[in-house]
Amino acid sequence: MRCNTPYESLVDYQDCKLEQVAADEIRTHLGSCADCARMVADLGRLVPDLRGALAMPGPSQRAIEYARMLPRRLMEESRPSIGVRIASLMRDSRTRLGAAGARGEAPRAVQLLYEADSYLLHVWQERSSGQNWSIIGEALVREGGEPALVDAVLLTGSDGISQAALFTDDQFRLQGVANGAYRLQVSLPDADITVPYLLIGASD
Amino acid sequence: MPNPRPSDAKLIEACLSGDNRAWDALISRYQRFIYSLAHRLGCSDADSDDVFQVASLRLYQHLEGVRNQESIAAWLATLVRNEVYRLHRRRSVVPMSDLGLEESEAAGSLVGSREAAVTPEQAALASERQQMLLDALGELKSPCRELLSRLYHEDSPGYAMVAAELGLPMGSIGPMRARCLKRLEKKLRDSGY
Repeated sequence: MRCNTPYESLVDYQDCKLEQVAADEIRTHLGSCADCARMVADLGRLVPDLRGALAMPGPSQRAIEYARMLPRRLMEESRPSIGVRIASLMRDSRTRLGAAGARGEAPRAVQLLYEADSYLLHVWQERSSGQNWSIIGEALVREGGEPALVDAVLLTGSDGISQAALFTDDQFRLQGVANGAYRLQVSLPDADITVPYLLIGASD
Repeated sequence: MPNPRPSDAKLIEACLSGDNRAWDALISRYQRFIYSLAHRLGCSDADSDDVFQVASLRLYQHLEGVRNQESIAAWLATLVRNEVYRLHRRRSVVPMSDLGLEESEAAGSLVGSREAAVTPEQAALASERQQMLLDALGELKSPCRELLSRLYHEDSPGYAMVAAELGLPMGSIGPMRARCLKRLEKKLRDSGY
């Protein structure tokens, strides 16, 4: 037999808004109606979650104004507020390949080491499938060699399309990268490191 | 006819085109998520404000990359955790090496939580779930969105005042609340909540 208990009654029951007699009737009913019992249980999770979400604290008005003004403020500045460092290539494992490199054969794995001010940037390229590559990297603080906390990594191709890296511990990863020339941007809290020309895969 | 709530992707596209109102909307959408996660991870009100401002700057600088992310909330959660970790590390008087901790362990231990026995990962997940709920609420049509937001807010003035604010008959509030909760439940189920 279809249950005729109005959903509104279940909502009121879950919210303790029913008179005692009505609440007792609903409670008794829940003991024998699995559907209604499930709906009340669902409400018992949803309503506290909803209250909690609506009670989430928020930033001060001053902080919100700062955030809202960012596009206007940054457009007025001729240079970015975070220092941009262009990375210099220190080592490329492809230059050690000798005869293989001269024939233009693409190696299966490539290691690159860049320096940028107080940071070192390791980038590994590994052939994954077909003409695609996996790019793995990490940024290190030059003094001490500790991994640097990276906020974001963006790889942009010559067509202007960007791919954002995923992170595992201190390493960033990009999958399915095709042969070609890219720009790599690594964002750290106090600097943006840019590798303006990163050749993935075989040379032309 | 009311405009449907724009998706995150649409907002970001508009931001990249220079639409400052879209940026305002994006900030409004995630401001409580960013701030409350920093709070959950042990930051004071002032520090949570700072983390929010840094996260906003990073979000603006990386809009193009964030556009390709499946979940902006997850991206922001990583950013917030890193920033909170840096904040705590800058203020820690004991070098991490003296604590005998690996870097990853130190990140977990220094970034504490206001909630007992909650890891930073759990705090981030809890905040992301709350953001999913607010997103679903935001997608409800009027007057459901406003009704549920007012009735379940901690400072809710009660049925009579809410009815007056929304221009609805007092007797319609109860049944409408039930219908709106059902719609919210369906949206949450559909989004995998």
